[in-house]
Amino acid sequence: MSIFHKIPPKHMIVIGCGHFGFPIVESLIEQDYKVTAIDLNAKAFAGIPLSMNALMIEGDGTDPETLEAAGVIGADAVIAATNDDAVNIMISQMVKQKYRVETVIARLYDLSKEKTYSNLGVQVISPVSLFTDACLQNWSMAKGRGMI
Amino acid sequence: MNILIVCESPKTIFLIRLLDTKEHKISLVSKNRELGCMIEETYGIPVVIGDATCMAVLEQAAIDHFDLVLTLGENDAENLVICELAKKEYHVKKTAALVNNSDNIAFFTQNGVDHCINEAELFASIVKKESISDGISKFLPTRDPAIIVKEVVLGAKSKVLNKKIWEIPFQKQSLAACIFRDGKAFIPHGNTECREGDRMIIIADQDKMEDTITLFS
Repeated sequence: MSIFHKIPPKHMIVIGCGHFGFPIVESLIEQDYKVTAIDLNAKAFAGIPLSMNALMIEGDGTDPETLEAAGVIGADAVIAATNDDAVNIMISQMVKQKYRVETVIARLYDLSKEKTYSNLGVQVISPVSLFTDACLQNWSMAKGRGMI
Repeated sequence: MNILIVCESPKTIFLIRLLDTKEHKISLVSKNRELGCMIEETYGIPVVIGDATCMAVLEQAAIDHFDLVLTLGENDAENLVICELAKKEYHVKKTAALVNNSDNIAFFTQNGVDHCINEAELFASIVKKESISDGISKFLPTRDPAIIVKEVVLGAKSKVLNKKIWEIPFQKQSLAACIFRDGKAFIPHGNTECREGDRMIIIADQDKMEDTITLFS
Protein backbone atom coordinates (compact mmCIF):
# COMPACT_ATOMS: atom_id res chain seq x y z
CA MET A 1 0.00 0.00 0.00
CA SER A 2 1.32 3.39 -0.96
CA ILE A 3 1.98 5.84 1.82
CA PHE A 4 1.40 8.68 -0.63
CA HIS A 5 -2.20 9.73 -1.04
CA LYS A 6 -3.21 11.81 -3.97
CA ILE A 7 -5.07 14.91 -2.75
CA PRO A 8 -8.48 14.94 -4.44
CA PRO A 9 -9.08 18.05 -6.53
CA LYS A 10 -11.31 20.76 -5.10
CA HIS A 11 -14.87 20.64 -6.37
CA MET A 12 -16.15 23.87 -7.86
CA ILE A 13 -19.70 24.40 -9.13
CA VAL A 14 -20.25 27.19 -11.65
CA ILE A 15 -23.85 28.17 -12.40
CA GLY A 16 -24.32 30.05 -15.65
CA CYS A 17 -22.04 29.44 -18.63
CA GLY A 18 -22.46 32.69 -20.49
CA HIS A 19 -19.88 35.39 -21.23
CA PHE A 20 -18.96 35.59 -17.55
CA GLY A 21 -19.21 31.95 -16.45
CA PHE A 22 -17.70 30.21 -19.49
CA PRO A 23 -14.12 31.53 -19.07
CA ILE A 24 -14.30 30.71 -15.35
CA VAL A 25 -15.22 27.09 -16.15
CA GLU A 26 -12.44 26.88 -18.76
CA SER A 27 -9.86 28.33 -16.40
CA LEU A 28 -10.84 26.02 -13.50
CA ILE A 29 -10.63 22.94 -15.76
CA GLU A 30 -7.18 24.05 -16.95
CA GLN A 31 -6.10 24.35 -13.32
CA ASP A 32 -7.20 20.72 -12.69
CA TYR A 33 -10.14 21.51 -10.46
CA LYS A 34 -13.14 19.18 -10.45
CA VAL A 35 -15.75 21.38 -12.11
CA THR A 36 -19.52 21.03 -12.45
CA ALA A 37 -21.16 23.57 -14.73
CA ILE A 38 -24.92 24.22 -14.69
CA ASP A 39 -26.83 26.16 -17.34
CA LEU A 40 -30.46 26.33 -18.46
CA ASN A 41 -29.31 25.78 -22.02
CA ALA A 42 -27.04 22.85 -22.97
CA LYS A 43 -25.75 24.86 -25.97
CA ALA A 44 -23.84 27.02 -23.47
CA PHE A 45 -21.46 24.09 -22.86
CA ALA A 46 -20.28 23.97 -26.48
CA GLY A 47 -16.54 24.59 -26.56
CA ILE A 48 -15.81 23.65 -22.96
CA PRO A 49 -12.69 21.42 -23.04
CA LEU A 50 -13.37 17.73 -22.40
CA SER A 51 -12.00 16.59 -19.09
CA MET A 52 -12.44 13.67 -16.71
CA ASN A 53 -12.98 16.25 -13.99
CA ALA A 54 -15.71 18.24 -15.72
CA LEU A 55 -19.45 17.58 -15.59
CA MET A 56 -22.11 19.63 -17.43
CA ILE A 57 -25.71 19.72 -16.22
CA GLU A 58 -28.57 21.31 -18.12
CA GLY A 59 -30.95 22.67 -15.49
CA ASP A 60 -32.18 25.47 -13.25
CA GLY A 61 -29.59 26.46 -10.63
CA THR A 62 -32.31 27.66 -8.24
CA ASP A 63 -33.81 24.16 -8.13
CA PRO A 64 -32.49 22.15 -5.14
CA GLU A 65 -32.78 18.95 -7.18
CA THR A 66 -30.39 20.31 -9.83
CA LEU A 67 -27.94 21.57 -7.21
CA GLU A 68 -27.93 18.20 -5.46
CA ALA A 69 -27.37 16.39 -8.76
CA ALA A 70 -24.38 18.69 -9.26
CA GLY A 71 -22.94 17.54 -5.92
CA VAL A 72 -23.53 20.73 -3.93
CA ILE A 73 -23.37 18.71 -0.71
CA GLY A 74 -19.66 18.73 0.08
CA ALA A 75 -18.68 21.13 -2.73
CA ASP A 76 -15.74 23.41 -1.94
CA ALA A 77 -17.04 26.49 -3.72
CA VAL A 78 -20.05 27.66 -5.71
CA ILE A 79 -19.90 30.52 -8.20
CA ALA A 80 -23.26 31.99 -9.24
CA ALA A 81 -22.47 33.54 -12.60
CA THR A 82 -25.79 33.79 -14.45
CA ASN A 83 -26.81 37.03 -16.16
CA ASP A 84 -29.64 37.54 -13.63
CA ASP A 85 -28.75 39.22 -10.32
CA ALA A 86 -31.83 37.84 -8.52
CA VAL A 87 -31.01 34.28 -9.59
CA ASN A 88 -27.40 34.66 -8.42
CA ILE A 89 -28.56 36.01 -5.06
CA MET A 90 -31.07 33.21 -4.54
CA ILE A 91 -28.55 30.50 -5.49
CA SER A 92 -25.91 31.99 -3.18
CA GLN A 93 -28.24 32.18 -0.21
CA MET A 94 -29.56 28.67 -0.79
CA VAL A 95 -26.09 27.17 -1.15
CA LYS A 96 -24.82 28.99 1.92
CA GLN A 97 -27.79 28.34 4.21
CA LYS A 98 -29.15 24.99 3.08
CA TYR A 99 -25.99 23.21 1.91
CA ARG A 100 -23.44 25.00 4.12
CA VAL A 101 -20.93 25.58 1.31
CA GLU A 102 -18.15 27.71 2.75
CA THR A 103 -17.10 29.72 -0.30
CA VAL A 104 -19.94 31.25 -2.29
CA ILE A 105 -19.36 33.94 -4.89
CA ALA A 106 -22.13 35.79 -6.71
CA ARG A 107 -21.86 38.01 -9.74
CA LEU A 108 -23.90 41.17 -9.24
CA TYR A 109 -24.44 43.96 -11.76
CA ASP A 110 -26.65 46.16 -9.58
CA LEU A 111 -24.38 47.40 -6.81
CA SER A 112 -27.23 48.86 -4.73
CA LYS A 113 -27.92 45.37 -3.33
CA GLU A 114 -24.28 44.58 -2.58
CA LYS A 115 -24.39 45.63 1.08
CA THR A 116 -27.62 43.71 1.80
CA TYR A 117 -26.20 40.45 0.55
CA SER A 118 -22.60 40.89 1.70
CA ASN A 119 -24.03 40.98 5.23
CA LEU A 120 -25.45 37.51 4.64
CA GLY A 121 -21.97 36.08 4.03
CA VAL A 122 -22.16 36.02 0.25
CA GLN A 123 -19.02 37.22 -1.52
CA VAL A 124 -20.13 39.59 -4.26
CA ILE A 125 -18.18 40.25 -7.46
CA SER A 126 -19.30 43.08 -9.68
CA PRO A 127 -17.93 43.28 -13.24
CA VAL A 128 -18.67 47.01 -13.12
CA SER A 129 -16.58 47.50 -9.97
CA LEU A 130 -13.76 45.30 -11.29
CA PHE A 131 -13.61 47.28 -14.51
CA THR A 132 -13.75 50.63 -12.68
CA ASP A 133 -11.00 49.55 -10.25
CA ALA A 134 -8.79 48.35 -13.14
CA CYS A 135 -9.32 51.64 -15.00
CA LEU A 136 -8.46 53.70 -11.92
CA GLN A 137 -5.39 51.55 -11.23
CA ASN A 138 -4.13 51.96 -14.80
CA TRP A 139 -4.83 55.67 -14.68
CA SER A 140 -2.90 56.15 -11.42
CA MET A 141 0.03 54.03 -12.74
CA ALA A 142 0.13 56.06 -15.93
CA LYS A 143 0.00 59.22 -13.87
CA GLY A 144 2.90 57.97 -11.72
CA ARG A 145 4.97 57.41 -14.85
CA GLY A 146 4.20 60.95 -15.90
CA MET A 147 2.23 59.80 -18.92
CA ILE A 148 -0.86 61.83 -17.93
CA MET B 1 -54.24 48.16 4.34
CA ASN B 2 -51.55 49.49 1.99
CA ILE B 3 -50.65 46.76 -0.49
CA LEU B 4 -47.89 46.80 -3.10
CA ILE B 5 -48.32 44.21 -5.84
CA VAL B 6 -45.38 43.22 -8.04
CA CYS B 7 -46.49 41.36 -11.13
CA GLU B 8 -46.17 41.33 -14.89
CA SER B 9 -48.89 38.83 -15.66
CA PRO B 10 -52.42 39.82 -16.76
CA LYS B 11 -53.66 37.62 -13.87
CA THR B 12 -53.03 40.69 -11.67
CA ILE B 13 -56.27 42.16 -13.00
CA PHE B 14 -58.30 39.38 -11.37
CA LEU B 15 -56.54 39.93 -8.04
CA ILE B 16 -57.20 43.68 -8.16
CA ARG B 17 -60.85 42.99 -8.91
CA LEU B 18 -61.08 40.68 -5.90
CA LEU B 19 -59.41 43.13 -3.53
CA ASP B 20 -61.70 45.95 -2.60
CA THR B 21 -59.77 49.00 -3.83
CA LYS B 22 -61.87 51.26 -1.57
CA GLU B 23 -60.87 49.30 1.52
CA HIS B 24 -57.20 48.88 0.56
CA LYS B 25 -54.72 51.29 -0.94
CA ILE B 26 -53.14 49.33 -3.77
CA SER B 27 -50.12 50.17 -5.91
CA LEU B 28 -48.46 48.14 -8.63
CA VAL B 29 -44.91 47.67 -9.90
CA SER B 30 -44.66 45.91 -13.23
CA LYS B 31 -42.12 45.33 -15.98
CA ASN B 32 -45.04 45.01 -18.37
CA ARG B 33 -45.67 48.58 -19.57
CA GLU B 34 -48.85 47.74 -21.50
CA LEU B 35 -50.41 45.97 -18.51
CA GLY B 36 -49.32 48.70 -16.09
CA CYS B 37 -50.83 51.50 -18.18
CA MET B 38 -54.08 49.57 -18.63
CA ILE B 39 -54.43 48.93 -14.86
CA GLU B 40 -53.62 52.56 -14.05
CA GLU B 41 -56.30 53.80 -16.46
CA THR B 42 -58.99 51.23 -15.62
CA TYR B 43 -58.66 51.00 -11.84
CA GLY B 44 -57.00 54.33 -10.99
CA ILE B 45 -54.17 52.51 -9.22
CA PRO B 46 -50.71 54.13 -9.07
CA VAL B 47 -48.31 52.10 -11.21
CA VAL B 48 -44.51 52.19 -11.47
CA ILE B 49 -43.05 50.59 -14.57
CA GLY B 50 -39.73 48.87 -13.91
CA ASP B 51 -37.78 45.99 -12.44
CA ALA B 52 -38.79 45.63 -8.78
CA THR B 53 -35.54 43.84 -7.88
CA CYS B 54 -33.91 47.23 -8.38
CA MET B 55 -34.00 49.30 -5.17
CA ALA B 56 -34.44 52.56 -7.08
CA VAL B 57 -37.70 51.23 -8.56
CA LEU B 58 -38.95 50.11 -5.13
CA GLU B 59 -38.16 53.55 -3.75
CA GLN B 60 -40.00 55.20 -6.63
CA ALA B 61 -43.05 53.15 -5.60
CA ALA B 62 -42.55 54.41 -1.99
CA ILE B 63 -42.25 50.83 -0.73
CA ASP B 64 -41.70 51.90 2.88
CA HIS B 65 -45.31 53.13 3.01
CA PHE B 66 -46.79 49.66 2.51
CA ASP B 67 -47.99 47.09 5.05
CA LEU B 68 -47.92 44.16 2.65
CA VAL B 69 -45.85 43.38 -0.44
CA LEU B 70 -47.20 40.71 -2.80
CA THR B 71 -44.86 39.31 -5.47
CA LEU B 72 -46.57 37.27 -8.13
CA GLY B 73 -43.86 36.96 -10.79
CA GLU B 74 -42.95 33.82 -12.70
CA ASN B 75 -39.34 33.97 -11.53
CA ASP B 76 -38.88 32.58 -8.00
CA ALA B 77 -35.54 34.32 -7.55
CA GLU B 78 -37.04 37.74 -8.31
CA ASN B 79 -39.98 37.10 -5.98
CA LEU B 80 -37.60 36.16 -3.16
CA VAL B 81 -35.24 39.10 -3.65
CA ILE B 82 -38.12 41.62 -3.72
CA CYS B 83 -39.59 40.21 -0.48
CA GLU B 84 -36.16 40.21 1.19
CA LEU B 85 -35.42 43.79 0.16
CA ALA B 86 -38.89 44.85 1.32
CA LYS B 87 -38.28 43.45 4.80
CA LYS B 88 -34.55 44.00 5.30
CA GLU B 89 -34.14 47.40 3.68
CA TYR B 90 -37.58 49.01 3.95
CA HIS B 91 -39.07 47.29 7.03
CA VAL B 92 -42.31 46.24 5.35
CA LYS B 93 -44.38 44.32 7.93
CA LYS B 94 -45.58 41.40 5.81
CA THR B 95 -44.60 39.81 2.52
CA ALA B 96 -46.27 37.17 0.39
CA ALA B 97 -44.77 35.48 -2.67
CA LEU B 98 -45.77 33.17 -5.43
CA VAL B 99 -43.33 30.24 -5.26
CA ASN B 100 -43.34 28.39 -8.57
CA ASN B 101 -41.06 25.55 -7.45
CA SER B 102 -42.67 23.86 -4.43
CA ASP B 103 -39.22 22.60 -3.31
CA ASN B 104 -38.34 26.23 -2.53
CA ILE B 105 -41.22 26.96 -0.11
CA ALA B 106 -39.26 26.12 3.04
CA PHE B 107 -36.33 28.22 1.82
CA PHE B 108 -38.60 31.23 1.21
CA THR B 109 -40.12 30.86 4.69
CA GLN B 110 -36.66 30.64 6.30
CA ASN B 111 -35.72 33.88 4.59
CA GLY B 112 -38.61 35.82 6.05
CA VAL B 113 -41.37 35.48 3.45
CA ASP B 114 -44.54 35.35 5.55
CA HIS B 115 -46.87 33.68 3.08
CA CYS B 116 -45.87 31.36 0.23
CA ILE B 117 -48.35 30.53 -2.50
CA ASN B 118 -47.66 27.53 -4.71
CA GLU B 119 -50.20 26.53 -7.33
CA ALA B 120 -48.97 22.92 -7.58
CA GLU B 121 -49.27 22.50 -3.80
CA LEU B 122 -52.80 23.94 -3.83
CA PHE B 123 -53.88 21.48 -6.51
CA ALA B 124 -52.09 18.61 -4.77
CA SER B 125 -53.88 19.42 -1.49
CA ILE B 126 -57.24 19.42 -3.32
CA VAL B 127 -56.41 16.04 -4.85
CA LYS B 128 -55.29 14.78 -1.44
CA LYS B 129 -58.51 15.94 0.23
CA GLU B 130 -60.60 14.48 -2.56
CA SER B 131 -58.74 11.19 -2.41
CA ILE B 132 -59.29 11.03 1.36
CA SER B 133 -63.03 11.60 0.88
CA ASP B 134 -63.01 9.17 -2.02
CA GLY B 135 -61.13 6.66 0.11
CA ILE B 136 -63.66 6.99 2.90
CA SER B 137 -66.58 6.52 0.53
CA LYS B 138 -64.89 3.50 -1.06
CA PHE B 139 -63.95 1.94 2.25
CA LEU B 140 -67.32 2.36 3.88
CA PRO B 141 -70.31 0.52 2.51
CA THR B 142 -72.00 3.74 1.44
CA ARG B 143 -74.20 1.78 -0.93
CA ASP B 144 -75.61 0.22 2.16
CA PRO B 145 -78.09 2.87 3.32
CA ALA B 146 -77.52 1.84 6.94
CA ILE B 147 -74.33 3.97 7.24
CA ILE B 148 -73.89 7.48 5.83
CA VAL B 149 -70.78 9.64 5.48
CA LYS B 150 -71.33 13.41 5.33
CA GLU B 151 -69.18 16.50 5.38
CA VAL B 152 -70.14 19.49 7.53
CA VAL B 153 -68.46 22.89 7.35
CA LEU B 154 -68.54 24.79 10.64
CA GLY B 155 -69.81 28.30 10.01
CA ALA B 156 -69.51 31.40 12.24
CA LYS B 157 -72.84 30.59 13.93
CA SER B 158 -72.28 26.88 14.49
CA LYS B 159 -73.42 25.71 17.92
CA VAL B 160 -70.26 23.66 18.47
CA LEU B 161 -67.81 26.48 17.79
CA ASN B 162 -64.95 26.52 20.36
CA LYS B 163 -66.38 23.39 22.01
CA LYS B 164 -64.34 20.27 22.53
CA ILE B 165 -65.41 17.03 20.87
CA TRP B 166 -66.28 15.46 24.24
CA GLU B 167 -68.66 18.36 24.95
CA ILE B 168 -70.75 17.61 21.84
CA PRO B 169 -73.70 15.35 22.69
CA PHE B 170 -73.12 12.79 19.91
CA GLN B 171 -75.79 10.14 19.66
CA LYS B 172 -74.85 6.48 19.66
CA GLN B 173 -73.83 5.14 16.24
CA SER B 174 -72.41 8.52 15.16
CA LEU B 175 -68.93 10.04 15.27
CA ALA B 176 -66.66 12.78 13.89
CA ALA B 177 -64.14 10.74 11.91
CA CYS B 178 -61.91 13.40 10.44
CA ILE B 179 -61.34 17.17 10.42
CA PHE B 180 -59.83 19.19 7.55
CA ARG B 181 -58.21 22.35 8.93
CA ASP B 182 -55.65 24.73 7.37
CA GLY B 183 -55.04 22.34 4.49
CA LYS B 184 -54.37 19.36 6.77
CA ALA B 185 -56.51 16.38 7.73
CA PHE B 186 -56.43 14.82 11.18
CA ILE B 187 -58.43 12.45 13.38
CA PRO B 188 -60.02 14.39 16.23
CA HIS B 189 -59.86 13.24 19.83
CA GLY B 190 -61.94 14.20 22.86
CA ASN B 191 -60.00 17.39 23.55
CA THR B 192 -59.96 18.61 19.93
CA GLU B 193 -61.62 22.04 19.79
CA CYS B 194 -64.02 22.82 16.94
CA ARG B 195 -63.09 25.94 14.99
CA GLU B 196 -64.80 28.07 12.39
CA GLY B 197 -64.08 26.80 8.88
CA ASP B 198 -63.40 23.22 10.01
CA ARG B 199 -64.63 20.62 7.50
CA MET B 200 -65.80 17.68 9.55
CA ILE B 201 -66.42 14.19 8.19
CA ILE B 202 -69.34 12.66 10.08
CA ILE B 203 -70.15 8.97 9.99
CA ALA B 204 -73.53 7.88 11.34
CA ASP B 205 -76.34 5.42 11.04
CA GLN B 206 -78.88 6.57 8.51
CA ASP B 207 -81.54 7.34 11.13
CA LYS B 208 -79.06 9.26 13.33
CA MET B 209 -77.44 11.42 10.63
CA GLU B 210 -80.04 14.18 10.53
CA ASP B 211 -79.95 14.73 14.32
CA THR B 212 -76.16 14.61 14.28
CA ILE B 213 -75.93 17.24 11.55
CA THR B 214 -78.23 19.59 13.51
CA LEU B 215 -75.71 19.49 16.37
CA PHE B 216 -73.27 21.33 14.11
CA SER B 217 -75.66 23.79 12.50
